[in-house]
Amino acid sequence: MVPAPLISIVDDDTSVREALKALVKSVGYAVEVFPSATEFLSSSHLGATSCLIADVQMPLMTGVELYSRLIEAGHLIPTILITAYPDHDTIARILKDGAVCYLSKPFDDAVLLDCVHSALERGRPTGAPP
Amino acid sequence: MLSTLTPGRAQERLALGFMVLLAVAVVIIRARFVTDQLPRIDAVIPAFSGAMFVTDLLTAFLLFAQFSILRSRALIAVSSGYLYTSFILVPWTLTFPGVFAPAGLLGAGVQTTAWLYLFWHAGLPVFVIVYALLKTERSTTRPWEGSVGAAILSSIVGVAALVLAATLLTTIGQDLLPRLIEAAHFSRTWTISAFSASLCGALACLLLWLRRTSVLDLWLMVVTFSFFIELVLASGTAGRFSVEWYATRILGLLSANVVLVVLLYETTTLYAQLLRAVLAQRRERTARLMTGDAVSASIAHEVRQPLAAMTTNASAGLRWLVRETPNLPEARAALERIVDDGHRAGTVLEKIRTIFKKDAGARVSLDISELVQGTLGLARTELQACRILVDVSVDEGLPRVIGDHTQLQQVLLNLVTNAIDSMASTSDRDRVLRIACSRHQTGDVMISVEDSGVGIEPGHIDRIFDPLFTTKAGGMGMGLAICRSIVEAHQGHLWASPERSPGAAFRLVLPAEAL
Repeated sequence: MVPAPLISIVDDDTSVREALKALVKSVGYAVEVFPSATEFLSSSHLGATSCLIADVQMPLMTGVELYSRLIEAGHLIPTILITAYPDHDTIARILKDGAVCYLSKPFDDAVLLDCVHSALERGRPTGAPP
Repeated sequence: MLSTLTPGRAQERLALGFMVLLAVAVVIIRARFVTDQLPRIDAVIPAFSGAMFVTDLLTAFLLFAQFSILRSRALIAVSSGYLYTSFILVPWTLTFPGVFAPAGLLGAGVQTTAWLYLFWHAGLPVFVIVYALLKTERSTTRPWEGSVGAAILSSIVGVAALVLAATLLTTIGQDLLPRLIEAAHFSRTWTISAFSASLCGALACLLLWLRRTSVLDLWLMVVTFSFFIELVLASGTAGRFSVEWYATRILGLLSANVVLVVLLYETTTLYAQLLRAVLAQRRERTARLMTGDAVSASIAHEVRQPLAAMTTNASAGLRWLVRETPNLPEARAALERIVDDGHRAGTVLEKIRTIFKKDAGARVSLDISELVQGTLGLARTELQACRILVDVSVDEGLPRVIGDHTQLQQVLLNLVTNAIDSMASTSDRDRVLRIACSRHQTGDVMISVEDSGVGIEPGHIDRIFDPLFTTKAGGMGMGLAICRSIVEAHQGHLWASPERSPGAAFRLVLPAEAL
């Protein structure tokens, strides 16, 4: 049996985190949630994550910084960034860096799931097989 | 403005120091160098006159400019004085022997230049005396009502005429004047005349000292003092081109420059201050805008979180339900989370409202009677103007109340102002404002504000506390709504009591301070 792809969710807001967890579980994926970027980076699930959903506005380390860190460290995880402050400059920069999607809150759940789907399809950002 | 600015201690000390220095220099010169002669340089005179002419003219111009702004009669006197000083330099230079012609131009005689010198050095102090007499404290002098241009023009014409008259008197009419120079030396008459003329300078200086108010007065004092000193020095019989003579020339140049330099310095300082103030204002405005921007961004963020969570939970719940085998526990959990998120959104909005509440001040123990008296004090002028009788009664032993002094005073003032407004149009009965502070049955403190005005219409009594409801022509309707929210924030109540007699009654209850 192929294990369900692991989706990791990083958001400092509890209710959003729990809601996302419920949504992703409802379509059948495995989910792990983390309240901060540092916790995700130091967790054992990092390597197994097939897709990362991260909030941008977080204290200490933002979602954008997290994504850059992952790329630098060689963890090429397809990432979806969500935020309450849509900012065009950041959007352009992130998409250029290879993030899969950039969504603003409140987001359409269908759009998010599409993003997750295409992230899993696409695999690693460089195109290497999952 | 130079003519209204009060000089600081430092400036006063500087001016006095200057005068002391001048006096000391004169004493030294008189004592030590009296008969020493220096080489005769004819070019000194036109050079010196040229410099003084320009300086005095510029000073006159700046002082006329001050006059045009402040319209003070006194200022036009001192500006004319400087104009006179610059104009009279013309005949003085032209008639000075050896400068343009051996005996001087304009049919000058031996006495001409000397007399012109006296007219010159007695002239400015006289104008300054007029200035000192005309100027009074601040702006109690009647300002010049007429055209500024006309005033300036007439002063220019007047001064020119005066100088012309002096020139004519000293050239054509020189035989009428006492002889100042006898046999190529300054005579005793010269000494006496010069000394008497110097007293004009001394008098002007003294008058300025007694009536001094501004920076201009201070430096005019220095100038008139130097005129006095100069004449004292010149009253010696040392003759032209002596040390004394050169000293008086230098002194003259210095004193001419003083007021100009001070005026220019003050102008630059004021300009810098203005620039700084404009920049500070601009910075404050930007900061305020940025704060508003930051606040609204923060609000947006705080509200978007629960909203996103709610929609996501709802979608999750739906997906759990539309499966082949609906997962009811999960769907239910999702709905419960939605409820929590909704409540959270409500709390966020409440917190936002507190950000905007101004005067989020400290809660202190307050004395109600003092609060009432303070409010009446604030409204005193209005109450007197409308001839309203005020009746205040405070029960004995009334407990204190915990609250924000400013906010509660705002509430009381609002009620009192409403009372005044409602009584403003009544003329058939006495205007009475009755404020009573008593102990309510629950132990709380009750304040009632009653008036004998137009009263509240029965239909409106429920609506008057609604925001945006108003019966006043220019009113916004926020007053009573805000009062009520302040009182309720203090765990109190504010209501309007239906009254039998004409007028309205408002009652507010505040919890007593727990001891």
